[in-house]
Order: sequence, then structure tokens, then C-alpha cells
Amino acid sequence: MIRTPRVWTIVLGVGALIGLFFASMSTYDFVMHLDRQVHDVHCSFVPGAGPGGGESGCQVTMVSSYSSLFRTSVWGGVPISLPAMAVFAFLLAFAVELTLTDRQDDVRSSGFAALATGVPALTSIIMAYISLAKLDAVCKMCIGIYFASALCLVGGVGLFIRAWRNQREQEPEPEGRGTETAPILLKKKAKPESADEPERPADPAWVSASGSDDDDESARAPSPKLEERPTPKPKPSPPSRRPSAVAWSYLAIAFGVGVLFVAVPMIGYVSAAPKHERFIGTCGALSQQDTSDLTIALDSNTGEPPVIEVLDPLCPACLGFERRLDATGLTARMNRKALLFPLDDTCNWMVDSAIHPGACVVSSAMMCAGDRGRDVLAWSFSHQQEIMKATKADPTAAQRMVLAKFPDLEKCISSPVTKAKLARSLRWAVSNKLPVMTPQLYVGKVKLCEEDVDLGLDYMLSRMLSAHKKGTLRATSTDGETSTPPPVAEPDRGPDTKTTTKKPTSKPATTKPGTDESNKLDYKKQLDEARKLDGAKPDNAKQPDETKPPDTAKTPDPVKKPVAPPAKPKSKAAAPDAPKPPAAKPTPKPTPPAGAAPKGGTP
Amino acid sequence: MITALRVGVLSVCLAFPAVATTTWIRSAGHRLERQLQAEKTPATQDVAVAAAANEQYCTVQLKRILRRVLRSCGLIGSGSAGGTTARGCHPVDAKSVATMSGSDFNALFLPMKSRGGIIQFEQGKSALDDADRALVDKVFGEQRGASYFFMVARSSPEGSVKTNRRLSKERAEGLMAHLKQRFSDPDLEKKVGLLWLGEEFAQLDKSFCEWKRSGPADNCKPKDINRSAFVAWIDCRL
Repeated sequence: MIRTPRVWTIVLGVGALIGLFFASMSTYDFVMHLDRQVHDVHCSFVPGAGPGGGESGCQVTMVSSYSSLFRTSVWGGVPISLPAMAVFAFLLAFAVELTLTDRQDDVRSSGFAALATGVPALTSIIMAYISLAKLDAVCKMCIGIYFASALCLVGGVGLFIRAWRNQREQEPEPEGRGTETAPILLKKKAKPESADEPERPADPAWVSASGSDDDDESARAPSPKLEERPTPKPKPSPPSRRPSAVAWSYLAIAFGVGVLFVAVPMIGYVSAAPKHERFIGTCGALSQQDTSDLTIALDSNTGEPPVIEVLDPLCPACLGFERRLDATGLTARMNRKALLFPLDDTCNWMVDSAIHPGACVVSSAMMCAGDRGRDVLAWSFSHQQEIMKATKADPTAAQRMVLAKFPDLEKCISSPVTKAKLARSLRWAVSNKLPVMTPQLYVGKVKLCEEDVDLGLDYMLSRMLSAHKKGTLRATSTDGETSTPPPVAEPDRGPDTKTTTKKPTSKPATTKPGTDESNKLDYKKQLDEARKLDGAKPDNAKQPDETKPPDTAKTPDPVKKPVAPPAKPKSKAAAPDAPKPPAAKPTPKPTPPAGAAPKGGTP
Repeated sequence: MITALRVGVLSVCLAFPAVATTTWIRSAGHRLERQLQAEKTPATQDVAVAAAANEQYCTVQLKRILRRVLRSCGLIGSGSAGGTTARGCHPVDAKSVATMSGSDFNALFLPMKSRGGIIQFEQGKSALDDADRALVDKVFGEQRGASYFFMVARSSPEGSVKTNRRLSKERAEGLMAHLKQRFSDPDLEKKVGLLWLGEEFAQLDKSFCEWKRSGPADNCKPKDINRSAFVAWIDCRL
């Protein structure tokens, strides 16, 4: 007979159902990205209400290193929302089980349920802390899961407390506390006097469970025999009305099933995940690696594989990338150097406007600072928004702020030698035909694909570093053919790298006055996308003629160019600062920054 | 009945996460494969690639002249680029490679007014003073996306042709030496086009007095402005 669920069981079941729904949506969003494209993520308290905007923290949390497990073993890792799905599914199943077997008043069973709900509750607390304290982002889907976890916890604990109280109420009164109850106890405990009255078994809960009304009636019904018998010494014995606790083995099996709930989907995920290792080396390579005095050392891990980070000190995408890189724990395996590529038209002719106002000044300061270059970088990363905002209002603000912090750099910052050096840094990008975007990372000469700068960072970077150490890292095509780096050539148009394959969504191109028609650039939404990823504010990029500068961008800052031959078969859109399209429509993953249009173009 | 229900609920709940996730993963995998196939066909490149500047004034005619001059002056073409061949163009070379009148030759540089400067020397001298160095440093430091730096030295008509050839050459080489010492740019030889025209070709007229100059403001008679070296970055891609 199917029993009626208790209120707390309903609370538990509803919480599990809500949690399952939110966790499923989160997992779905995560898994969507396994195609190496950019997708909008759902970010609403109403699951399925539609893709959320980049302003939410859902994207930030999703690409953070805390969003998944085993990131170096599986591309992107196994989303943490997957075990959450499994746990909520288990809680749902267990709530139904308690109802069907009428174990809702069983202390052990309800206690087990309460403990099980502690798993998502505890995880939610930890994740909420990480989200607020480390990522500074609030994810609506996550909040949905936190709420569901809380609901489950309330249901589970409520169920347990109710069962426990019931048990207490049904326990025998302490000895000597009167004889009034003795008859009842005796009645229950008394052995059948005849063979016709069999002894009641201390059954498994799912068979008899807590007393039914019938039981109550029978328990309260006066026994003629009892009245006839004297009651000298009431025996302390368990109340017969109290349901027998389930066997520990039952709970052990339940625990095992719970583990199975988590293990099965995770194993399935790992075995079904697409193999992304084949993309290593398919996104281009440097033709010249010698950066002589142009780079700034980011660490001193000599002996480790040389890694060049092409970055802009005021690029939010670069900041986000840096954080993700730190979180991988792989920085100790790299000898990193920064190659400055400020997306600011005061020094960079490849952009039409100051995507990151003040970036040229800060870059100059880094060059002037010598060994303290990383200190300047760290300072600029922590003051990005305020530097850009101030410089937008007053073009001299960046220099003022830099000098207030590093007064000894005053003479150097605006010297012709520094300007020339910064120009050489940008010319190095020209020589290597780099995409106009930040950040970019090269292990040795081989580029880390833009599709791999967030979710797949741990997986791909660790493999690239290992391959470099083994001497097997080289540029290839997706077919596995080894390709040679693009030849050094006069600055023409350059194919190359995967950035080219990224399909920016829909940003208008801009042309800088005074340039060839071919120099028109299609600035992207990539800036927005990148910004989404990093949770930073959008940058402004001027878009001549028709468009408005992109507003928000968080990840890489690329600049798109309309006409150019695709060099590599790769599909992701720029990653750095670019926006994402609606979930339903996968768009190429952009990593580059946002909207600045490179000038230049075809020769 | 209840047992069947329990088993059913358990199975559904157990299967849902695994089945749903596996389905989504497969779908992502298929999309990935489709995109890889699609990208094997030519497509448009979305992200701009870093390139040198190529301003509007870089007309076909200007580029043609630049190519000739640069080739003759040892910057591009066979044997160039490393500076292995003799650097710099003699007045006669300049005339022959430009194949145009002096005024037309000068007119090519007019669009570079904002990017250039005129280093003025004292009569008969090729040494740089502080103002000269400051101006050439400033102009050279503003390279931005330009690929070539032109230094065109001249001399005023006083004195013999031979002396003026030598003098203009010394002025050009003096500037080059300064740049090498000041900027330590390993690619300098590939960037700088050096011409010395003596008094024989393309003398500057008074219109160049409006350019940034290192000499006194009132020191701009034709003879003053031709005791000089014209320096400018050229934002043209060849």
C-alpha cells in the first residue's frame, strides 16, 4: 500500500527536484562548451527561461577553476554540477523510497536522509563562499542550487526530527513512574499465551513501518487478560508501538546506491567526453621566438619550457586568464615572459580606439621597471577599471597614477627609447602575424588555442608543457599533419592561428580614416565575451561609422578583421573579450578582447 | 507493485544524470566534428592579424618610388636587409631611382609632415647638438606602425658640389650613428633608409619651414633649411 508522504518528505522531494533541475541546466551549459564554441549560459532563477546575459556571474563561475573536477584529466574537467545532479537525483529517489516503504518515521532512515542532504548543503556553503570571496561573482543558477540544497536539508532534518520525536513519545516511561502504563507495556511485551497468537516480528520498516491507525487501536484496546493479571513489576522493554529501525545493512546499501548515483554519470562523462588533445598545436605557431629585450619576466623558472604571454596590462581578459592560470598550479612548470600588446591606439596603430585607455602608459612603465615589471603588472591588474575610467576622462590620468605608485619611472616612461621599444614589441607581433587580441599564450613556439584558455586550460596546457619537455610539441593540423610555422614575412596580411577561425558574432566592422578599404575591421563581440568570462567591465572600442563600442567584455581582447584567408581549420571564435551568443545558437568561441579594429589590412 | 515502483523510480533517477549527460556530450561532439569539417573549406578570417601601418597617403606611385629607393639604398631586395651591401644612396642614385624632379620627389614626403622633422646643422658642420638629438629621438620614438625610417640629408649650395656631397653624407651617417647608439635596435639596419643628396637634388623650399625643426624659428631661409637632414617614418607597407 502506498503511503502518504509527510510534509518534510515533500519538502525534501521538492528540494531535490528543484536542485536536479538547476544542476541539470548547469551541467547542460557546461557540456555545451565541449564543442569548443562559445555559448550563452542559462542564468536565471527560472531554469530554462532563456540564456542569460554576460552580466551575470554564471559565465564567470562556469569558466573558473572551481566549476569542475579532474581538469587535467578531462578537457574542462567534470562539471561539479554533475555530481550535484546525481546527489539530487538520489535524494529524490530516496524521498520516494521513504514514502513507498513508509519509513518516514524511522529514525535511522530519516537520519540517513538528513545526512545525505548535508552533502549538497555543505557543498553549497563552500561553493557560495568561493563564489563570493574568490570569484566575486554571483551565479543565479548556483543560487538556485544553494536554495534547493537548503530545502533538502530542511526537509531531511525535519523528517529526522519528526521521527526522533515520535520515537521519544513512544518510548516507555521510566521505571517507577507509575503503573498506569505498565499494563499497556505488558500487553505488548507479553508472550502469546497460545500458539494461535504468534509473536510479532521486529520487522523491517518497509514491511510494517510505524504504527498505523489499526495498530493504535489495537494498542489502546483494553485487554481483558491484562486486567485480570496483577502488575507487580513492570518490565522495561521497548515499546511495541515504536516501529523497528531498519537494518544497518539497508542503510549501507542505500549509501552504496548513493555512491553509484554519483559514480555512474561521472564515469559516463569521462568516457564520452570528446578528445581534445588532437587540437594541440593546431592554432598556429610563432615564426620568430626571439624577443630579446622586449619581454618582461613573469617568473624565474629557468629550465622550464619558455612560455610567452601576449598581454595587455589593462585587459580584463588578461587578468581573468592570469587568475585561471594561477589556479591551474602549472605556473611552476613554465618560464613565463610577457610580451606587451596594449590595445590602446595611442601607441598601437592596429586598433582604432583605446580599447583599454592607459594601456600604452602602463606598458611603458612595465618596460621601464625592468625586474619590477611584474610588480607594475600586478598593480595594474588590481587597478584596471579605475585606471581605464580615469584615463577615459583625462588622458594623462594613467601616467599620473603610475607615477604616483612608481615615481622613479618618471623619466623613462615617456622617453623616445621606451616608445621605440614598445613599438618594437608591437612589431614583433607583426612579424609573427599574431591575431590582434589579448591574451595569447605560446608554449615554446606553439600557440595555446583560444578555445583552451578557459575551460580546457589545465588539460591542454599541462599536455603542451609535457610535450615540450619531451620535444614532441609542434604545430600540426587537426588531421595530425605537422605544419611549419608561418614564414617570417613583411607585414602583409597574415593567416594563422585559430583566432582566425573564430567567428565573432555580430560586431560591426570599423575602419579607421586614412586606411585602405581593406583595412576595415570587424570589431567583435569578443570583447563582450571575454568580459563575460572574466567578470570585468566592458571596454569601449570605437567603431567608426556605424557602431557603438562594445560595452562589456571580459576575456580576451581580439580585434576582428573582415577579409582574410583562414589559415587553420579551427573553429573557435575569439576567446578573449567577446560576448556569447544565445545558448541555442553555438557561436565560435572568441577569446580575444573586444572591440578594436585593427587598421591595416591587405597590402 | 510497490517493489516494482521502487525499482522504477530508482532506475529513472539513477539513469537520468548519466543518460542526459551522455546525450549532451555526444551532441557537443557531433557539433565539434561538423565544425571541423566545415572549417576545412575556406572561410573568412574573423580576427584581425597584426600588420604594419599602411596609411592612405601610401599611393601606388609612392610605394613604387619607395621600393626603388629602398632597394637601391640597401634596405630591401637581394643582399639587403642585413646591411651587407653598401648602405645609403648617393645623390646620383637618388635621382636615377626616383626618376622624377626634385620638387616631385619632395612632394612625396609632404603627407609625412606630422610624422617628420628637419634636423638643421650649422654651416659646414655635421655634428648634432642637443636640439638635433632631441628632435631625431622624438621623431624616431614615434615609430608606431611604420616600417621605414627615412633620413635624407642635404647641404646648402655654398661650397663645391663634392664638398657638399661629403657633407650631406656625414650628416646622414652622423644621424645613423646616433640612432644606433641611442636606441640599440637590432633591426635598425632594416628600417632606416639613408640618402644624401648634397646640393644636387631635391632642395627643400620654404614650405618645409613649417615642419618641426631643430633650428631657431627664424633660421629658415632656403640655405638654412637645406643644411639639414629630413627624418620621418613612412607608414607604408611594401
